[in-house]
Amino acid sequence: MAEAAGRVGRSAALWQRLRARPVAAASLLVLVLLYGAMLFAEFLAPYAPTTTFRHHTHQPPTLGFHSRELGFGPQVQHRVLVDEVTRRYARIRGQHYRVRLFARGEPYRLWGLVPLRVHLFGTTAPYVDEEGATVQAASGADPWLGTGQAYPVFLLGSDHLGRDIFSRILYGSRISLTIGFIGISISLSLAIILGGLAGYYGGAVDWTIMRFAEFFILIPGLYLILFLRSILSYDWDSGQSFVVITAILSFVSWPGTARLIRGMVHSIKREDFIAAAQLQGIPALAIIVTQIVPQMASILIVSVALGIPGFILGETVLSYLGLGITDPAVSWGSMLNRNVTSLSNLRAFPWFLYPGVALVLVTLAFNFLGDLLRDIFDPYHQERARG
Amino acid sequence: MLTLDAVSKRFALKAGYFAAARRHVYAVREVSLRIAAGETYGLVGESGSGKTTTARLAVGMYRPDGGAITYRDRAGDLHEVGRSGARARRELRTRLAYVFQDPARSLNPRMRVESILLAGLRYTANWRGVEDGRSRALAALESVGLAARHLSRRPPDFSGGQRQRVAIARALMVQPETLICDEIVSALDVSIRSQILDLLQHLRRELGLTLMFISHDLAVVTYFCDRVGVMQDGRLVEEAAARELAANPRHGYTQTLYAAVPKLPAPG
Repeated sequence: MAEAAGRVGRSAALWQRLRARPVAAASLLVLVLLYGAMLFAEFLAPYAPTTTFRHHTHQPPTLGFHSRELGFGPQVQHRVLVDEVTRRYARIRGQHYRVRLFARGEPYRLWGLVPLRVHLFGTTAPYVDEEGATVQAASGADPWLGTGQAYPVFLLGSDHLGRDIFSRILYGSRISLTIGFIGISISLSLAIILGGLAGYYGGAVDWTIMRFAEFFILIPGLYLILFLRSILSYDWDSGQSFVVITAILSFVSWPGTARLIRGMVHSIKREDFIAAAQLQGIPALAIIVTQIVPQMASILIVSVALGIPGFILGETVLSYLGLGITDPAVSWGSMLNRNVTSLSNLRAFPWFLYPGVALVLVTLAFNFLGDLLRDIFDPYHQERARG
Repeated sequence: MLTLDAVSKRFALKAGYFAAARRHVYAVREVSLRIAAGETYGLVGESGSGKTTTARLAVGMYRPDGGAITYRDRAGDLHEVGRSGARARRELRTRLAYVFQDPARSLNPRMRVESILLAGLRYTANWRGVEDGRSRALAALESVGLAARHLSRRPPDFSGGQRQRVAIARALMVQPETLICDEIVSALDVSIRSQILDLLQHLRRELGLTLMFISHDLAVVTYFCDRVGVMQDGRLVEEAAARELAANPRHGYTQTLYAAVPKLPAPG
């Protein structure tokens, strides 16, 4: 009965605490929104991540809400490049295009299955270049490009090739937001198995595994990542490099968690029910996984929530250094790598930092959420909060 | 038939890091006893006298530092308890079962009763698949006076007496010949205690169990057991039929133990 009451109390406590801590609630909301956006990236993004508008490179955010001609409502004003060096654009008076919801645009397949052409928003005006000619197919294979592109709307500006940064952030989140979960599940499995065995057997097994883990801890993480990345080949497609990066990051991050788990297994294994399980002849790994690990579920939940940002940042660092995700695949780190190459660059085109903003948001959100979970699950923190 | 022949067990004392030599304390010293098939053997003694260690040696949880423990099963095969071979252990597990003192600690609080009951069976030769296991779990639960609806609950949902019933059911899952009960009623209050003893009595008759019953409660042991051994400081100091021991304790320590039983004034 105590357990059932604790269970109900726990979820009730979660809601209570979410209400008491608006920052954590907002974090949860941000994460839900971002992961939702990741799922529907094709629909929400007005363009594919590789679609380029050759005459609109380095363009600042263009969405406007009022003009004399169209009145109030989302719209873009026609812009023309006037300075090739500083990439300055002039607005053409009187030429505005309405931004419509559920506009027809580039064809895509939602989740690779449902063929659709409708995007959440976009313009329907034809894409014209400086000379006034309608721009025809840049890459002939794409029928949308073949029939002429619509005039671009850049919610968060465009990059050095004239690609929409907003669309690329959405598509990039597919790598940046999933690498955390995949990475943490690999590293957590490693930590549970190795830390579990070390704590369970003790003695020589413990010594060997923990010295091995400490060896990884004492090497500065970044150099280890760079070393591992450099001994592996460079010319991979994006899928392969995604897998390799995830594996490298997991490999570097398991020892800390393994040490935590080892300590807990060490104390839990003295319980009578573990002695009972051993007496019944249940194999060690089965005891660790089915009987010991559930005892520390709360700690593991917290360490997952706090561990994910590390993976996201790790991918960013690798990609920023040019060792991670490379074109045509897109991740937040690779966007920063491509665009933020010098300080003067940043000063001139500050909207290139938007992927970084997304990154900071996600990292903070996971940290706040992790703090909340720790306050709920960790009794010591709870007592301190009350007292 | 369970035979302990001059069995000793010592534990290393926690010494300082720079201590010259390891020091040991003997928990059990040269204990010899024999429990015949179908017999109920009681082991009494004060706290720290080595009862639990003896029981754990008998079931193979500890390995003896001296002496030999053997078990002859109903089919007449002789097994050596505490031998390291995986097959030997597996064979013994279906013959000897052990019930812990405190059910609150010996049952995993996070597991449902069903998985608690099935967890061990899975790794014995008696495993015939989940369906069969489930029906056996139900049978075991019913034999200890619990019902199917209890299968999906977790130990903290039960009272102390019910928990001990679950622990007994778990021991019965492998259909053992011999049950070793380590102070299984001492963590329960008095009214529940008699229920559990009645249950054990019933199971013993029903299944023809051999029982090793450990307790520090002389009244319980005298009532419940055929023969009783008295332990003091790791040694077996006296051994006699239960009634005889109660009527005529020989050893000084046994006399002290009986004298220590509080005598209530006769009512009226």
